[in-house]
Amino acid sequence: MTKEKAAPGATIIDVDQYPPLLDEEAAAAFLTELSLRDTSKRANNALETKRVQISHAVRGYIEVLEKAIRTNDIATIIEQAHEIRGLAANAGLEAVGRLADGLYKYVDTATRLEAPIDAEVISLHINAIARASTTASEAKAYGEAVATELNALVTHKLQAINRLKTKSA
Amino acid sequence: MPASAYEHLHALVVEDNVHMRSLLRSLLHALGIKNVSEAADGDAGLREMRNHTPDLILTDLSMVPTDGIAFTRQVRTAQNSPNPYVPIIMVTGHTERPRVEAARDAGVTEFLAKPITVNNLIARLAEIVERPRPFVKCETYFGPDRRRRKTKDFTGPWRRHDDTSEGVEVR
Repeated sequence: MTKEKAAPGATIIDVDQYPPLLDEEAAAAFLTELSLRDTSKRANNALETKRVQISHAVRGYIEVLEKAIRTNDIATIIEQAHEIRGLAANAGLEAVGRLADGLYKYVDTATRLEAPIDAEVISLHINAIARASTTASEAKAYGEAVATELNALVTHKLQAINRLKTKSA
Repeated sequence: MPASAYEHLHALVVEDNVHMRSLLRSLLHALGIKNVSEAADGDAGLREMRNHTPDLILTDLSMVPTDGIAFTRQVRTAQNSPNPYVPIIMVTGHTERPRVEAARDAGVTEFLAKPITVNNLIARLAEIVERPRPFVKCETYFGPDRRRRKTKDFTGPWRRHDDTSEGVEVR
């Protein structure tokens, strides 16, 4: 194996200079286990079992999100959007994840930079998330299309916040 | 080959969402890693590391109060880190590129994109076992060598225009 050369002032600690994750025999056994079709099948079954549980959890977060907009509870909106964006795709709700990500980025950035928050942007996102989270295939297509539009809107809004903050700095 | 050869492997999952933690634990179990401990943020992860030194870590990026970047930096560089060489897989979702770069510069070994798939997790674990990377130590960085891209036309050994043989020190 070709050894990498260190940059000036840097030291390279080669792989044989620190403790290995597994010894040679164990590494070979583990790699064999990972390559087995049965292993992969077992893991996919585990993923599928969790999918239902995660889907319920995401719907629960969406309910909290919908309540939070009614009370203008920004902290809860940020918190729930964060939970949804991390989990939705593993429940098969990819568009919901993208929408929640856009919502999180917008509200979190605006809050951190103490910029005014456009309630309409939040409302559009939450309505889209609620609709895209239903199981109908039409909802999925709708979610994908709206996520693209709303992500563009969030980018535009974040640029506006950035300009505002740059001017006032 | 007996499963007992690797059954002592211990993974630590650092993730603030209980459902994602549970998902990762289930997947690791299914892949043969039976010892899995959990922590809800970076601080708890460091405490857990001191109780049960893990062989590998899966960490989320966005967590409060201590996120995955700060956690990774602590694992790699803290004086009292139980294992600064431990492989760290960062689980990332819809994250901005600068944050992912910051995670890499904190010393993350591998990235696992959300949504999590079995194939991707297997690939990351296999990469860590099959191709461990040298570590680099310098004033501003300690962690796995970040130079992973192999350039077809690269004839080496120097990669930088200012590289000289004087800077080389292989321990």
